[in-house]
Amino acid sequence: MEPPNQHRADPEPAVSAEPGRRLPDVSAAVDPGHARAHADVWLADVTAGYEERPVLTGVSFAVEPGTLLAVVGPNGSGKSTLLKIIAGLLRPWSGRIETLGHPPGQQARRIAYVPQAELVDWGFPVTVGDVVMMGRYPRLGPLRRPGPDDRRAVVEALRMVGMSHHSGTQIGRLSGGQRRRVFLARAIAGQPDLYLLDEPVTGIDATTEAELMDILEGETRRGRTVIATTHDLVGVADRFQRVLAINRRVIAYGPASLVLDREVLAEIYGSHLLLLEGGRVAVDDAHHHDEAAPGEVHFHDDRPRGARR
Amino acid sequence: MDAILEPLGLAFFVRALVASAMVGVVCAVVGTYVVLRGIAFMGDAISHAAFPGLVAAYLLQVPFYLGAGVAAVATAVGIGWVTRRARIRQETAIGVLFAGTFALGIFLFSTIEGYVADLFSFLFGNVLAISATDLVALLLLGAVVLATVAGLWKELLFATFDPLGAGASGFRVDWLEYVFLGLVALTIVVSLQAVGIILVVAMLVTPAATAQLLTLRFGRMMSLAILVGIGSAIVGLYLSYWLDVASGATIVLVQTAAFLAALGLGPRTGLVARLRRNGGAGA
Repeated sequence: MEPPNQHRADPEPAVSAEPGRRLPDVSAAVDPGHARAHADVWLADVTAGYEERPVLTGVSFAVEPGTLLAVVGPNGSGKSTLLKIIAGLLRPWSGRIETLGHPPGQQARRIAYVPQAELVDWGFPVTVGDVVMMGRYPRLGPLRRPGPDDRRAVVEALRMVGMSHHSGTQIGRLSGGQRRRVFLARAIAGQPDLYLLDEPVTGIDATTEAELMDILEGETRRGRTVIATTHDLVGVADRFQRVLAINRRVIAYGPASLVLDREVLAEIYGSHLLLLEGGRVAVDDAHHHDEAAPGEVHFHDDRPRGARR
Repeated sequence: MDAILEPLGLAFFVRALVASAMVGVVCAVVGTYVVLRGIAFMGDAISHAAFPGLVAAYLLQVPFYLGAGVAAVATAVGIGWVTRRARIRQETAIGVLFAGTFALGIFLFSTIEGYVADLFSFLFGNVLAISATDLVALLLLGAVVLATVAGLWKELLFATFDPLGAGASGFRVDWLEYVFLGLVALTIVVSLQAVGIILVVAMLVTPAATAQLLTLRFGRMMSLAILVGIGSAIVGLYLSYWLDVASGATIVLVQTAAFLAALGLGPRTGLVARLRRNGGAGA
């Protein structure tokens, strides 16, 4: 899957986290009971895995409503597993979870989950309109067929993502960016309170990424919560309010500007982290890039916090 | 014209025609999901698992639909359960159950004294021998399968296309899996008399595979599969009557011919389309 690491830094100059250094962890500073009562997603000491292989250990954090949260970490760090646990698709081995104030799975109709693009069978004989309509299925009762309201919601969702003219196109004929737009439209059509998006902007062009992030920002302003896994650290710094950095456990959690510092990045990505001159760092983990384009995956450690491109 | 109308005066031929057409419809509908899930091998395993049920039903003097149905559904649920446990790979589980259940059928069969023509007709199908009672049972079971698919239309579509997304938004994907495997089992039971255990997987897979070559829409794929299923059942039955050859095998051969024709002439895979594209590119 991953191309050889052409830009791997010499391990010597790579930053290493000082032992015992306190990484920013905002949730630890909050009264846990308060955090739980006000959270859309709340995890306490959650450990989970597949068969006998643990993937996540001792994960605790809380996400307040209206948050745009990025989950970052290298491949195999447990990002997708975390989304599945929150969605109720995977039962944790231990620990406690609440999703929208209930055990995972109980509020499923208020959740829209979008799987990684690689997991979708793009040859499946469905059109763009069919896929977006699936976002309405949870709202329909058993035996009920979609009605005018559902068709309106599909049209509106397609308009929001700029895919109105592709309603009748088979999904395999779309570009990578269009495919992500369609799946975001499916999520929007269900009018969920919680979006769980696995790699929603991986492998798409910058314009599409910016447009999709605008839409997600709009949804969080309306009180919806968005949790998205991503490889794009620049996009994270610019567009997400909060970041959860994981590598089989929580490395850091808090505002994007605090989490994305060199020590945290070094701990997440290890030798995949590349130190550039002037204190900039780059990560060559993004498997969709053969070569890190200048300005694409580097992060200015000293840039003004909260600055927008 | 006489060659077409003349057999319709024969009650057994009309019964066979109705039975084959119903089998064509039910197999096409369920087969569409089987093909899209890529579980043709599962259909083969379940059909072979019906064999011991048939023999047991014969030995116990109970209706064969009951014996075959219990065995097929039990195997379908068994495969689903073993797969969910995920300790061994699904294809391995199927391989074990496939051969094991069929061996059990042959074992039971060998305990019967004398020659039993009925059981051979289940191995290879003999729809021309279907009784009025069996036809009614076939139509009822087929209707149950079709009604279930119609009732669970959106759930089956969502869970087949995106099981994770469907599960996350509250659909019981695990239960739908069992229901679907149950439908495959019932479909096989319905088809046994028409084409027999050995060939039933063709009924399940070939019409849907043919349709998939011709369209990229789900509803259209199922409609085309039904057309191919009914059409090849009728054409195959007439051919077998005129040529005095085995009906089940003839129906399956007609389906195979339809598949090859679609492969050769289809919009995406066809030689004709390829020649036209190359011609267009050269011009």
